[in-house]
Amino acid sequence: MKNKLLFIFFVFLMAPIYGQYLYVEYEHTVNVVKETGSFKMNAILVAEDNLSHYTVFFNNDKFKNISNVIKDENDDSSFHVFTSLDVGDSSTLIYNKVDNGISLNLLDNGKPIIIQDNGVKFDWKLSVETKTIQNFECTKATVDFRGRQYIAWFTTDIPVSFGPWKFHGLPGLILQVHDVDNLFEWNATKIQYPVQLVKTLDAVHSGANFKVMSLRDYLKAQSEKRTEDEKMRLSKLSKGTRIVESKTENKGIELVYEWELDESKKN
Amino acid sequence: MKIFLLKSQKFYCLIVLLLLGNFMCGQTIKGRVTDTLENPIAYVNVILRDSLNKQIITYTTTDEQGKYEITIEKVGKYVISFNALSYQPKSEKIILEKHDFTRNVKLQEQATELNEVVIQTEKAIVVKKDTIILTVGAFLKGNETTVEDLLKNLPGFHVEADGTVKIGNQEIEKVMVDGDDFLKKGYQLLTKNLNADVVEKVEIYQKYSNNRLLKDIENSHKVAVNLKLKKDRKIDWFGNASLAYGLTTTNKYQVRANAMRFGEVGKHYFLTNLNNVGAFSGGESSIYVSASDLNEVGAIGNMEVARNLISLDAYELSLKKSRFNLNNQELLSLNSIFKINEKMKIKTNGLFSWDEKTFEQQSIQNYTTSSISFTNRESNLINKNLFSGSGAIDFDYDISQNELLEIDATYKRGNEDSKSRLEFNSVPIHQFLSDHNERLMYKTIYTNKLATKKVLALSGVYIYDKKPQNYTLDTVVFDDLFPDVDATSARQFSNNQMNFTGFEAHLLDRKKKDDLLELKIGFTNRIDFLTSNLDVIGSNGDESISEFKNDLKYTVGKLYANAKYKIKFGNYALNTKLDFNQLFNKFESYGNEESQSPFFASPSLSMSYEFNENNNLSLSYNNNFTNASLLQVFDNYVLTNNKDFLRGGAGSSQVNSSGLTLGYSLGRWTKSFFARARISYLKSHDFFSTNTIIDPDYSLTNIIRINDSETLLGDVTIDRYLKFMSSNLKLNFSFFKSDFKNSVNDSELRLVENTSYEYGFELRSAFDGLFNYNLGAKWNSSVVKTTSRFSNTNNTSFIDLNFNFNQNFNAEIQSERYYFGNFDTHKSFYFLDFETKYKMKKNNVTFTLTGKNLLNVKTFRESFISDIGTFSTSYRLMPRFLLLGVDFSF
Repeated sequence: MKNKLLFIFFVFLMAPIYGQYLYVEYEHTVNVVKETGSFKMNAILVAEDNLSHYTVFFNNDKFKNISNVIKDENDDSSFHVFTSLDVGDSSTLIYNKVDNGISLNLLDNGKPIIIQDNGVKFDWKLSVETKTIQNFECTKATVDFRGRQYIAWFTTDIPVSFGPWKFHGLPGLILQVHDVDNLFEWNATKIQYPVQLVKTLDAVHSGANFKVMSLRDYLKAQSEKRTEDEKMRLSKLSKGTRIVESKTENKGIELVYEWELDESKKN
Repeated sequence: MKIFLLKSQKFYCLIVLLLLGNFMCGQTIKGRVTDTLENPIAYVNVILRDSLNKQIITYTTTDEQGKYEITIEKVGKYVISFNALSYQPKSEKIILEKHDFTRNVKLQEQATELNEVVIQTEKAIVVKKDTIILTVGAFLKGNETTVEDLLKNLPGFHVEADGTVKIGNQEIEKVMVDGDDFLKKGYQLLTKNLNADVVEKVEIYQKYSNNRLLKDIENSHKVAVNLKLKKDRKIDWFGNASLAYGLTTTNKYQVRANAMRFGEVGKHYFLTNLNNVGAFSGGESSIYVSASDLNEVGAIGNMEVARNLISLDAYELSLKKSRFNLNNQELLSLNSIFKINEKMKIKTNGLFSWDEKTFEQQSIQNYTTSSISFTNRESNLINKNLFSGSGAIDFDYDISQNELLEIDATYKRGNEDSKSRLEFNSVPIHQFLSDHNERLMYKTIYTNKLATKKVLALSGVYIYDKKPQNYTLDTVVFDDLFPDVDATSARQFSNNQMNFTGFEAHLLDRKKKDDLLELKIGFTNRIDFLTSNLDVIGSNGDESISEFKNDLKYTVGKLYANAKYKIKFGNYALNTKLDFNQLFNKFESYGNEESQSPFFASPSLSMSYEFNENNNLSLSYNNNFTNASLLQVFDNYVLTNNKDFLRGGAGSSQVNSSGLTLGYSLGRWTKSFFARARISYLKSHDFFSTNTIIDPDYSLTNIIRINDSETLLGDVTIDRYLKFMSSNLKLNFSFFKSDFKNSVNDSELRLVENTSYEYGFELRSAFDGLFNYNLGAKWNSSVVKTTSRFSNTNNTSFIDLNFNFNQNFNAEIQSERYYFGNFDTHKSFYFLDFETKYKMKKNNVTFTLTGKNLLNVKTFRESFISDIGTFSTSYRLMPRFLLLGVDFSF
């Protein structure tokens, strides 16, 4: 009797966590060369109806572990979604359709923090161009997003409106997206549906008690720190070295932000 | 409720006609999507396509209640589809009128399974292990003229204003052209000149090794760049030139020119530099700088040279050399690479340099010891004529995937004729020195990769170095040494010649966990020949050969083996090294022969421990045996200038020393605070010292070997970035204390205690705008204590100001102050220099205006102290000049 009760309790506990999820692996390519660091990262997108959960792996072993689980146990493949505790080896970006909110975790000065980027809007322009990517008929869509122009290929055959990184809002899964300069590229390499998860997606960021700040505040703090770091570096040069020109160039994915444009309009 | 389902084509036409004119208003389609059990389905993609079901017109998704709403401006024929995961998609043709209408849909559940792999397309960037290949065409923006412009547009590259190319924060090692390198660190000549449109691909090599077989086996942090040229390009001669001429002073000039050609079979790079403004063109030292680190593969023999006995202007002066380099230099450098076939390459380098130099000085030497006290006064004007020519041939043969053969031959020849007008205590003396030197080096390195992480390198080297010197004095002051001859003049002919032969086998084995084992076994044989004859000429013109002569042969054979192991566990890193040396010394002089074959083993050990990111402790111990060199063993006096004689005479022997160093670093260079402290203690169990007979008119120095000397030295550096003033403050403190013994005028061994302290600071700004500064000061205080005590405190300080008016126009003013505490008057010297550049971007022409020594300081005086006295010397400087220059490409 006692056992039975326990069992029921257990099922009750587990039941809401299981669901059917879409699983997509992406190759996340950053062509901004650094003398160290990886240029290709593996990423996993897990999505349910209103949430997508995109994790980029800096540690390839962790990626392989998950990828193998998915491959080996076809029917009831399940895995632990990465939590904020895994930040450092990976970074997870959650898009919530309900409130159109994006939150992502990353290491800030060694400490994991959660950054909120809410109200992001992709103003997609659909094209008549189509191409086939591995039996999926894809439609081309373009968007100007934060200083870069992107070309995306999505398929309505997979009816979710998610994609890699922050990309969302197309009437189908994005299989390929890159900017016109080819600096950033995402390519889907594996798609699977359905998979089972042991944890709900929205639990990921809320589980840990990390500092939460808005992207805007975070960037402001970062930029102040970067300027100061650059000054510090320059002031440490030896005598006789001349600084003729020094500028910090933003080579990140996002070059300008809506609020910066608003500010410059005001001025 | 029901939407208007199309029944017949006619009907449709009618409606379109009827509604024509009203189609500009937006109409809304709305509805609810549910499953078969009437439960709402959220987030269903609702897509509206054109009537051919091709182009997507608009789309939306259902909300939590399964509701959707689509607004469309044009009435007409459309296809609406509803898609959701795990449901059967549904699409229907609709005709849209001007009325809004509602359409509810039921979706059938469906088991969907997807297991697909999407195949990759071709990439503009290919990343292989440690190599990144960029296809240039994908990144061209159209504004590129030179390779430098091209690199600026490539991801990851950063080209600094001075032309330094960086990838990330790391400056690149070299720029090769189709795998060939002749400029090494001087790659800017190439990047600033080579046209971008000849380049097809840019390759970046990380963890670069100069020997491809050592890649990933030796420790390397280098980054190199290779330019792959387009094959169809007809490649012609190109280059640049920079001309500068004196504004106020006539006949001051500086000319630099480069010309180059990169063909398929032959590649050429030619350079010339002519100047009389004291500038160093980089050709003064050998251009074949390689493997300066003796631990590198194939470095055997790199440090072996024959020494000159006489040098007329050997002073260690504190001023920067270009201030007193009164020169007239012409330099020509010719470099070519010829490809014989896919596996063989020949590289030739030629360097020719002509120079006329003047050095003028006055000195006062106060000798004070327990036995003597006197002052010598000298004034000296030296004129030198120099020529040096060298040629090198490198032959590279890629025998196979795992084998490499490299043969290098270098021949260098130099002539140096010096004339000196010396006034020694009011006695005029003319000195003539004719120096001819010749050096041949032949080296073969064979590398074989035995296994994936194991390399064996075999090197063989032969060096021949000859330094004959012919020295004449028309008046001698040391006639007391030769009482039999009433000496008035003297002549010394000397020749120092060295033959070096060496073989070495070097094994590098990278183990698991990246530990590195290095084993070296080798044999070297060095033979030194020294002949010297001092002829003393009497007042009657009779020549007599003095006893001051040498004719000797000194042979040092060395059989050695050493093992090095580098290991890392956790936060500890350990480097151990064990050296075994079996020496075979043989000394032959005038029929005397002395042989010795000692054996030594010397260990060294270094450890480091990283507490955390910011705290690092290191400790090292080493023990060294040094064999006496020729200069310590030759047994009769040679004249080394107008009055000083030197004799080795320490015999075939070795000295042994041990050292202990402790270091600690706190913080990181990249952080706002960084401090480093180091302290070393060196104990010489034996060392070579001197016994000197000092007389106002001559000195006789003997090398002696004695026991026990100690040195303690330490330094502390602190770097602190001051945010409130955007500047970095650097503090330095160092001390040096050494106790050794020597003998003067056959005295008992006396203790010499040298103590010196140096402390200083530097402040450098990093402002955003137009102006920046860099200033600093340094104090040096030293005391030499023997039977007498000498002390000295000097100070130098500087202020540099930088102005960047805009990207194309900048200027810099530099000022320096030198202060010598030991002088009674004229304790300070001030210097002021100026440089400005203006770049005309359109036609790649740059104008420069340079002013040096603007305060026109004519002579500079500095003071020294030693265990036998205090000295001051003043020397002539390059007077003020202004140069107006222009740089252009052709």
